Amino acid sequence: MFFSGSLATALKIECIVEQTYGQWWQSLHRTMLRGVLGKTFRLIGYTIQYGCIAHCAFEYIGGVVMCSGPSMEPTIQNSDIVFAENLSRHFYGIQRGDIVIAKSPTDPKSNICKRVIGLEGDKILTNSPSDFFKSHSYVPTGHVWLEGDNLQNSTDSRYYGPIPYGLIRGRIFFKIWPLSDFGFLRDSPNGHRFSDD
Amino acid sequence: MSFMKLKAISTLLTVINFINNNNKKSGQWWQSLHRTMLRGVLGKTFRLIGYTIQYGCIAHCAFEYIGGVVMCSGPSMEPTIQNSDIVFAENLSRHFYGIQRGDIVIAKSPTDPKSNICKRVIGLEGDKILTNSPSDFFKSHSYVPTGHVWLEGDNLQNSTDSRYYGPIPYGLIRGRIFFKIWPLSDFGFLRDSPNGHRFSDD
Repeated sequence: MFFSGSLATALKIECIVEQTYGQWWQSLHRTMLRGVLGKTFRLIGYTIQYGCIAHCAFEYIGGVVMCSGPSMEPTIQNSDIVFAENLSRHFYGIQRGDIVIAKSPTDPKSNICKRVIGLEGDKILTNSPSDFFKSHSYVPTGHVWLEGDNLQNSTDSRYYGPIPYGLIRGRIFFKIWPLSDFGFLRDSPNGHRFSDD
Repeated sequence: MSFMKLKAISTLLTVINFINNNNKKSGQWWQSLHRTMLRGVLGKTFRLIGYTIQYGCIAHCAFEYIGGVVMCSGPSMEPTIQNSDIVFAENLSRHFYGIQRGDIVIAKSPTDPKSNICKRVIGLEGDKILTNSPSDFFKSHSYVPTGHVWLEGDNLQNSTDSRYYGPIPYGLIRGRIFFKIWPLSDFGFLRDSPNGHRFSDD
């Protein structure tokens, strides 16, 4: 009887020790987990917050863009870094002669960088002015006619037609790099291509 | 006589100095009071503006990247979507290029960049599209160019869509409508096109 009594007491003590020990581990894990989880959520929260603000700043105000390709030479060379503003697009203030960035109508994943030659309603010469028979067309409502400055090496509206205004994303107005060409961008080197009659 | 004059002048100067000093002190007191009030008001205003910009940006990004509630107007999608119905649009499919034939999409109008249109996608790039009524004897068809989609409203008699302005670039699509919220009698996922398939079979 004494033996069973002491055994029972021993078992009881062991149970209590295990319970407290287990609870201690659990509470430690919970605190660590809560601390780590809390920090992770706070980090994710800040990232989302500042990511949204940065995205809205880029979309509504402007940002730095790197252009690639030869279609805007000599105004913009390959790998130039320019500054684009997106306010004109939202206030519908894009004008003839502006250089714009737009979503490509043939590849929605990429952007194109061309000059606006004609707005809606304008008469556009659709082939080289040296041809004998000039053919022209009118830009439909809600569309713009884009052409690159490097007419020999540019896929633009002469190839895929006028693009809807809704594809325009921003207006390029300032070049940052290379420093030898720092400053506001020049007018089109091709003169005006509007029909005069 | 001159000594008296000097004394009078110096007394006068002392009095003027005293008055000036007093004025300066009370002036400083007024200035500091104004500065504190202004700083408090300015501080509260800037904090309010800061919070507004913060939550405005987050809400805008949520609408653009995830989705939101849209009210459609116009008869061009009857009977699927009636005038003044409220629907739920999601914008994830557009960013992952997961728009498929038969989806109802919201897009910027190609003829008026300030407004949106709400049509069904009939053809993706490369598809052959019948461009006039199938009852005509001479069927004419065309292919949808790369990067474009062909949209048509469900209400073919009363819809200005790609049959009028041609295929539109994929870049104009803003989101996909998949669920109707109002009216409650029509609550639920949207139906398939009532017009069957309009693809050319040859």
